[in-house]
Amino acid sequence: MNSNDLVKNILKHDIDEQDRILKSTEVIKPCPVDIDLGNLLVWDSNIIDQQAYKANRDEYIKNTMRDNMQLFVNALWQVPIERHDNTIVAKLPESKTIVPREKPVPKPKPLTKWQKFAQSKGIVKQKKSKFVWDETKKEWGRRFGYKKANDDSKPWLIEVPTNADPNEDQFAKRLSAKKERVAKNEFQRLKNIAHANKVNVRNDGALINKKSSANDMKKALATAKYSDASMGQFSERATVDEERQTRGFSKRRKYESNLGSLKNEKNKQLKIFDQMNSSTTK
Amino acid sequence: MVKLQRIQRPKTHRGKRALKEREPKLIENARSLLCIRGNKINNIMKILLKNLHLLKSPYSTMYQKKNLDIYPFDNTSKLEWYCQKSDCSLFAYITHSKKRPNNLILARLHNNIVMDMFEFELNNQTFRSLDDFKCIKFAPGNKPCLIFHGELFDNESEYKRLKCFFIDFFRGETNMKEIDLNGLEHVITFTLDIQTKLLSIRVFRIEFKKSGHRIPRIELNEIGPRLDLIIRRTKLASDDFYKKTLKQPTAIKEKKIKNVTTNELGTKMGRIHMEKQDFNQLQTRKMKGLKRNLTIDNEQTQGKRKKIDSTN
Repeated sequence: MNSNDLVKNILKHDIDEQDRILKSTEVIKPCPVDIDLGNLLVWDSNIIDQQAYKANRDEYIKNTMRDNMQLFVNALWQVPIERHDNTIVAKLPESKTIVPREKPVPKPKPLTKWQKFAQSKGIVKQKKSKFVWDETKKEWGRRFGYKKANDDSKPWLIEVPTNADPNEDQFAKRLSAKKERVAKNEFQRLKNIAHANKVNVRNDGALINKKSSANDMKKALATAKYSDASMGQFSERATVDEERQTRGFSKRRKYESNLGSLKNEKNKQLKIFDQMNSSTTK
Repeated sequence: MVKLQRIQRPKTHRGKRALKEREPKLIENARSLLCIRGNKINNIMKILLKNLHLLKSPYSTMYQKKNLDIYPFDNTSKLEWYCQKSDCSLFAYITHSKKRPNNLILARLHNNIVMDMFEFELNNQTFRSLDDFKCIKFAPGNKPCLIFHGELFDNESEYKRLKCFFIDFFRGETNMKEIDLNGLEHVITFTLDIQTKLLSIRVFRIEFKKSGHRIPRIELNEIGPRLDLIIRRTKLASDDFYKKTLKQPTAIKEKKIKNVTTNELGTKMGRIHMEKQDFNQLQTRKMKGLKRNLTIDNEQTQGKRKKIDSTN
């Protein structure tokens, strides 16, 4: 009985060992692995075991990657955890690897005249309700837009004020006042845009202090090169460096030879005629 | 010829919103992939392109037609134009010819100008597509884990750039602050062998198994395309251009709050730095506690209190 028990114990011990290895989250690597949690990135700088790699590439890759993934998860589970409703969420730290941006950094837009004033006075924008009570119609209508509440843009009656000329057209006066307000708003909006683009404008619309930039000069140079009798065919093209787009600068017109096949020429000319005749636009 | 760049004025609110999406932002959108076919392709490359498109969906657009006369290593302007139209900053271009069989070109753009471009040859014998693995894949749009293995990724500059390129390519959402622990679904691995210079890309699904304690045990199941690539040609951005693209906006950086600390009891302590004060010039007329009359007031109130006490 004793020997039986012994055997059973040894077998049980063996099974437990195997179980432990299967379930273990321990990974031992010769060189520590670089983990960047912010990007969910693992960089394993260990040497590839050439024997195992050549023997069965896919198995080897699967096993090493399982180990690397285990290390990553071990690190991820150390990170502080928050609870959002039913989900457990881990707060990721900043990413270590700097990755190039897709587009250049946006330039901060300069503040408009109103924004500067509001900032200095401490005026904060109040959120307004979408619907307003219309007393005359006794229902809720939009604050602005289609069928707005308290709409007095098309009045059927306007009282002539006591100090006004009785022959004056009050309706036309209202319309022109509205037009003036719209025009003033548009003018101020354009002034804001001009200031944002560092273009100083006088009240009558003329430009002040306009200095040509390097960009203007490049454009002028390219136009000049294009403006000769041969349309820039024989002069050096405007130099473009790798950071500017090459679109529009690389096309050169190809000329057919004078002594080519007559058949090709005939076909080309007929094709042009067909295109001119066709009712569909290209 | 100078092409006039007309400023697009959106006519609808929807159009305005779409244009705003495409503007440069502080925290950027995920890089979108543009899948294009070349003039001559074979079936395997077609399947590969479809697989790349599925791996990157929804951040991916597929152009269905063949495109003539595109030679990326000579002239990238047409591809740049397509990427600008679809608002993509990555493209994958496939061709197949006698001179360059099973050709795959991957590139990334900055500000619609090609930055880095890599041309690979795909080993068509070992290629397995998504369809060859019959199992659950992952939810589209999920952020993958990335694992790189191979000393070459750190030793040679070309492969360093390649590693950065693949991080950029497959990263998905930029600047993710939190992650659902059950949301880790798939991992993309890159193994680069020194001797054969073979880059093996495998995609696995992550399975969490019980391990007896808090941290789960990981098992991997292969799901995705199995690619073995060899680099043919590369066109890398110059160091200056590359440095420009790495610039991060200062607005994102966390601002350090100075002179504010929390002591062990949890109270917030602040530190104020004062300039030197001339004590002879201090304003004392407005400080009630310094008034001489206050002591007489105290006696009066004490007197009142005594009266109340005595009546009780």
